[in-house]
Amino acid sequence: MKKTRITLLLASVGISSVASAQSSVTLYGVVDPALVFVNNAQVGRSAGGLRGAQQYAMIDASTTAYAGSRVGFKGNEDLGGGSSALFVLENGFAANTGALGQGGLLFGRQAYVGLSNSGLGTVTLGRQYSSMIDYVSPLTSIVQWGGYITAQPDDIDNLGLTNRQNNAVKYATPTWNGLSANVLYSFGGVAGDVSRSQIVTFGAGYTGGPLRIAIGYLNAFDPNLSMWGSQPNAGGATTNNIGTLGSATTPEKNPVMAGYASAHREQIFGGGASYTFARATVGVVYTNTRFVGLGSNAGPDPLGYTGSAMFNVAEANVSYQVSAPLSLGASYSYTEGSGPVGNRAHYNQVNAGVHYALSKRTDLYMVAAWQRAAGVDSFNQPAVASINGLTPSASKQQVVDTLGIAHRF
Amino acid sequence: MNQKVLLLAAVVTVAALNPSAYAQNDASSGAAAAASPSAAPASAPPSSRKAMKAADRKLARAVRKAIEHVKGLDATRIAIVANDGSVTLAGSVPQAAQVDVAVQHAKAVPGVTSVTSRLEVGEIGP
Repeated sequence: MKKTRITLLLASVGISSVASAQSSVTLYGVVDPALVFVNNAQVGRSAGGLRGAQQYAMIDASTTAYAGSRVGFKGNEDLGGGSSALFVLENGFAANTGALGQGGLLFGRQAYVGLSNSGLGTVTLGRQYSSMIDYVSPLTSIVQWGGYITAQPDDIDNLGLTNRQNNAVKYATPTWNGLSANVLYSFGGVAGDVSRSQIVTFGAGYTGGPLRIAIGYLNAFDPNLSMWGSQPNAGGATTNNIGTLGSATTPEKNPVMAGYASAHREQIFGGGASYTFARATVGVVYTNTRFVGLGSNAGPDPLGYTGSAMFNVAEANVSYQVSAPLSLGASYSYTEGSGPVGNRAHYNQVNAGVHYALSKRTDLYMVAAWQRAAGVDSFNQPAVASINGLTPSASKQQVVDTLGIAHRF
Repeated sequence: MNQKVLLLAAVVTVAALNPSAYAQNDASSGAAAAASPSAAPASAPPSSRKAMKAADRKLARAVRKAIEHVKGLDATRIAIVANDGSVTLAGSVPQAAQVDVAVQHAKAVPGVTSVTSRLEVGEIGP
């Protein structure tokens, strides 16, 4: 991203000119509304079952494809001796309506401040991405070319950036021969119960030559509150913040895992690798997500679940640079889930994308996804297709096609 | 299927946009290539389109090799397109300083007449 750089001349307000030479604040952002066609989106439920219909809409890329709209500021202040202070404040918004993103937060994407030393590493405090997202997400089609809809069904492993971590301290090591790692702790902040709603994540990666390898781990206590309860539009423990079964006149939301809102812990681990040729990059990613201790007081449990649920996901992806402006991407993923009452589901998804870069800053794109579901979902109902970010289908299949323009500044 | 028709439509649209969109951005490298047509690789002159394509691929692989073991440069998200000696670097690098490093090392590869950077800094994500 080419950034508009505003150098703050601290010397003019009487501060040492040595420090000011390296200090800067950068304004940056993305504007990306997408035109969306969905072949089948639920509208409600009648005696005969779920009802769905075709949908044509304009929706911000943060929940479709390709790059969510944002405005951000980031800055760096040289403190001398290889040390610096840094900050990032990044707002997410919907370009199609102007509304605040992330449930109404001002700096919903990222907000943190920290200290960095070239030999010791970096410590940051605020609302941040998990280590899992830092290391494993860049290996998926989501970050490379596909966006939110190419994540796994309902973003089951959070690699699609659905949830950010509030109240988080992160320590990142310097990079040593291509190796690096970071660890994050998110305070639950509940008086008298230290572990309530806490989150721990760590990740590590290696980059060398054509190869990139990464692993990540996340352990969230009371995920209905800590992971899905971190936005102002969320409720407390009596609300299912993950999703809903819907009603006669409203659709379901996140049926793949919303039945597990009463989990005491959510554990995700995963890893992947990518290999880059002259024009092509191929990658594979595997993740395992568990909802453990169902029936806890962290969220509603109308189906009376106890025990645990588990999801395994495998993805393979490829991107290919056809010419200087034109690139193509394709990916396939398989998700299998098993719940506490013998409810097993699996989902096949195929994604494809075309990007045409008019310049470094302006990109025309089309990303399409197809998903097919089978089995029984987290609500113990026949599984329906549920492409991430969309209203679920009323049937086993769902197709989405997005067309958009992403402009960076 | 619906999807395929739309995909085809987009590819056609994109192809139609191609020449005009490129006129400005590649002005410098295009002019350089036109001004020095003799700057093609020293090997036997390409006898056909196929041979030229093979030479382009070979050059792109040579650039790939040249940039991928440079200390302080993460080349895992750089895609390389070669066209008769002029090379374009697309994709992204993690830090702004790495753009120049990648361009410098690509320029040093024998047979490369010009390098155009389309590299972005950082991956933007959803």
